[in-house]
Amino acid sequence: MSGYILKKEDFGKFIESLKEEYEIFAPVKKKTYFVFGKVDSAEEIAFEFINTEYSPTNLFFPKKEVLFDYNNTKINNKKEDITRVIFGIRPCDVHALIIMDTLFLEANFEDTYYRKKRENTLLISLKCNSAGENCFCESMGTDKLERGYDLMFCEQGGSYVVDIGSQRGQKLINELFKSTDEECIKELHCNKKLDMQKVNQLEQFAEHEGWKKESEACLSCAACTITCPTCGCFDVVDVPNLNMAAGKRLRVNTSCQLKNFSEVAGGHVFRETRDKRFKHRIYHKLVYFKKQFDTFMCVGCGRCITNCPAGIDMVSIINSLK
Amino acid sequence: MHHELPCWNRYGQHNKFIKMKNLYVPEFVEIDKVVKETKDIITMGFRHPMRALPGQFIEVSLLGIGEAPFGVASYREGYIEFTVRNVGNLTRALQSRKKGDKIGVRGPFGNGFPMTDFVNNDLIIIGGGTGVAPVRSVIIYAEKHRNQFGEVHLFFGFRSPEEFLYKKDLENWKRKFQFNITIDKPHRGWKGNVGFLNQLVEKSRLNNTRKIVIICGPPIMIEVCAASLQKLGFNNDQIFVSLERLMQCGLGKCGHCMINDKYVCRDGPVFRYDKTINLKD
Repeated sequence: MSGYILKKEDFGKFIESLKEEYEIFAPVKKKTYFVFGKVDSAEEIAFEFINTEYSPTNLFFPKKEVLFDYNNTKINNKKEDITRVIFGIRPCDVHALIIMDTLFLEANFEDTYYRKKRENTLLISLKCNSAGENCFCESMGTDKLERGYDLMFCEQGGSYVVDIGSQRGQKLINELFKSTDEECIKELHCNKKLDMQKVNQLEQFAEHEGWKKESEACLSCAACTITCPTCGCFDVVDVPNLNMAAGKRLRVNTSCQLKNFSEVAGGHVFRETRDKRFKHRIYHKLVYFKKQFDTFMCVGCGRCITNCPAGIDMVSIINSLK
Repeated sequence: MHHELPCWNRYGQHNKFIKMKNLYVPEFVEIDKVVKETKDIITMGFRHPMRALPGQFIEVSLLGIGEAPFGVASYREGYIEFTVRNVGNLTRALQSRKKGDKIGVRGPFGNGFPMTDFVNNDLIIIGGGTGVAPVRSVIIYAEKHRNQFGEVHLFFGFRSPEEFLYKKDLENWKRKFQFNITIDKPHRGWKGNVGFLNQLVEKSRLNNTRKIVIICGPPIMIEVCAASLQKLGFNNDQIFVSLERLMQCGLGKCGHCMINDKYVCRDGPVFRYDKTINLKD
């Protein structure tokens, strides 16, 4: 397959050319970590990151999102049409979007808000040069990306080798790009490996005493779910103005790690103990979602491990199940 | 590789927002009636063309206060009733709404009871407290399709006679069906059964031939009633239960009603009892 090549010195011009039509989101450096933010020029974009602290999937199911404005019984859910390009999204995070498509775009239960953002956003993925200490994408098979991107950039010396993933991506190719036969292959090697045989046997460990023991360290702080690229659970919350007649209905990100998540009217909590909540997250990712949609809900990005203040490592816990 | 996303495949070019139904936006209806059932429970009715099957639920909104799921308590063309116990902000606010006021509704959601699969069986319907609300729709269905079912046995449990719901219906059902009712503790002037529902079920000595059981109520009540039915020789696959969770979106997205690989809002709320045995949190 013939691809294109873009010289690094032309990258700034490429970003400028995108700006005419799109808002651009890319990794930016914040003190000690990286996040996806809106950028105006190529200089703001960071390249030395392994992956961002928060996942770019937040740009599709935000931590807080207005479902509609209301005034008495008049509802307004019209939103501006903003077309965006996300530059620098890692292959694992593109996989996360492919996974979330199965959930949010499921026939008959489609999420309009997600779809609109998905349709209005182009993805320019950037291959990883190396794996981070908590990456286990190799085990999950999410290190390779064959679909889901519009363009795929791969750093090679003083240039990027660019692969076209869609017709929309093709349209971004301009005179700055030269066609090439060069291929850019990055073989990633993750030090962290998840034992997939164990994962496939997880159901047998549902009543394992290990969950109680391992969850003792857990603080139920929800750092794992808030940074997870495939955690999209939410509360529906109304925020009225002082006059009560008008206001907004929002959905706000929440977490299965919080006690009130499974609370029902009258105060009964179904997953009251920490070990039940702890297990629920891991099983949702690796067992339940697989049963529902025939794919794991984990891409091996390792954010839940990196960001856990208690140092809980899901991979080593699963690997050591006996 | 030149794969496109399913969303673009289906609707062609990107950037064109295709107008489709937004499933999160409620529709506003006028309250047609409010019946005060007990000191903290009301039943509301509104006209709406939605067709709700017995056992399905709706999401009811008061903008600025919130939204919550309620089991549909009726089975009637063009009309929906639901019962509200005052337990939180929304349910308290609903208590003060009157005929003509507007509420937001979405739905119906969920699978409902597979009533057509129950044809030619006797129905044993067990409801405790506000769990009687969803089974009311089943009973009305059975009334309307009386020749499709054999005997209909009703078992109701309430805390006390003051807590009885649907008093007019109870009188009507007493005449039409095998009617059993119990209260938790002795009460002045009450000459009927006292004790838990499962004891009443056990006393009935019903056998399991061509019978379907429907149970609605708190988790513990479902558990003890199912145990009593097993003693009478019933199999778990004859028993259908409606599970309770706080469904917020009703679309299998928000995650609140998830039990293992099932969303109560979509895969339920009705489950065959044998299939719930492994649904442990």
